[in-house]
Amino acid sequence: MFRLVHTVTFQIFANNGRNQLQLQMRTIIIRKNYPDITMIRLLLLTLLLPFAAFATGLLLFTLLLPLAAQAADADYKPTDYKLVINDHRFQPAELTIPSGTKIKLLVENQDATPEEFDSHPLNREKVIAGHSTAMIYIGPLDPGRYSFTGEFHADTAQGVIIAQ
Amino acid sequence: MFGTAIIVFREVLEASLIIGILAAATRSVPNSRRWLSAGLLAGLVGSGLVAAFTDVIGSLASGVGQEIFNAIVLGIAVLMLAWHNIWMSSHGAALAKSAKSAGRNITDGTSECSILLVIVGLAVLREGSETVLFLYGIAASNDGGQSSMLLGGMFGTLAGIAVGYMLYAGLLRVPLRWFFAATGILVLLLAAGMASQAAHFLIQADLLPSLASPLWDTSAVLPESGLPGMLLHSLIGYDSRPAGMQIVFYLTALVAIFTGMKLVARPRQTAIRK
Repeated sequence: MFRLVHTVTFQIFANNGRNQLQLQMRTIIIRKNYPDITMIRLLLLTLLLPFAAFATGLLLFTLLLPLAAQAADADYKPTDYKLVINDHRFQPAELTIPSGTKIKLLVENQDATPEEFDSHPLNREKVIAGHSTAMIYIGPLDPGRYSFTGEFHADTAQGVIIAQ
Repeated sequence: MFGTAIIVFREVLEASLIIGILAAATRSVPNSRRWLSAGLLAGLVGSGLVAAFTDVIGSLASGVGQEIFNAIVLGIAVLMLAWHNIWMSSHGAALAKSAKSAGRNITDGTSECSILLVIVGLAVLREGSETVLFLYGIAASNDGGQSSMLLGGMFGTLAGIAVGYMLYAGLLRVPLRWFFAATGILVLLLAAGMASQAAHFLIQADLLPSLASPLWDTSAVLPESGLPGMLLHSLIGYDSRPAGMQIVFYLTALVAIFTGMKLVARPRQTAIRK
């Protein structure tokens, strides 16, 4: 069987020239033997890919971190606004902020259970663990009313941000 | 109970659609089912862990750890989906032809299958951790009515899985000559949608400028809270009020992966033709 394959290759070489021969030879070698080298290469690839992806993520992370610090400290200082979640309700339920500027919203969850601050109008979503405070950047917004909910207790946890 | 069902449904739906598409796309890849299941299992374990460490993750990177975590998870998923799609575009035709004599492709399929594991694991991890937190909140509260809410959660889970399965079953009925194109496009859009979501989280963390926010507002026509909007959000990354940067990410991912697929697919075809 091997000999037959060789003969076929040789004919192609005779007819079509040198490049064609090299191409054919390579396919035959892969088909015929060296399965262990292919296996090792694939295994390496398998192991390396997730790590490479993770490393890329980490690199991005470290690259972006100073950027964030710079954005937060040097360029501007967003004004802080605060909401409190207590007994699955937002306090205050209506928060007025200036329009046209970025603000930093602190949401303190005083409940023991987690909550998700969720707002399609604001394009924001963030899980807040029990007894912890989350920070959410909002805006710059056009004047108007922007509703938000605590997705995990949407029947009680509702509020509006009013941009003026 | 109804509200609970909807929340759980939304989270499960996204993971379930991803698994449905991938299960269909890799139906002729040897052992892909086993790797998908392993990914599902790893994702479930991982979502428990992420849920347990929510406060730790959240407090990292001066308060925006959660956004960065989500963006990294999404970013890795985009890379993996891109790799998957490019791999399929170079091997898909061969797999379809040699579906019965698959022996030759087994070693080749291993690297692809581990990618499957990662993608499914990450999808389940991200969506699952929120569900775990939500259900934990219900179980831990003393409001009463937990059993009805947990029942709602179960309904939501089943409904989400059912929709994913329907997509899977529907894809399997697509004729073979369009099948790889169909799954390829679905995976491509899935990846682009995830890239847009990653941008969304980085904007929320104030690490990226939003570039016109929102770029458009279709929330009155097609709200994301409705079922069509929900499905489109999961499948193609629909956002009723996207920031400009999200669209930049979306299009970049779309073009990059598509170019990769074309580049890999072409030389092989010409080689066969000669």
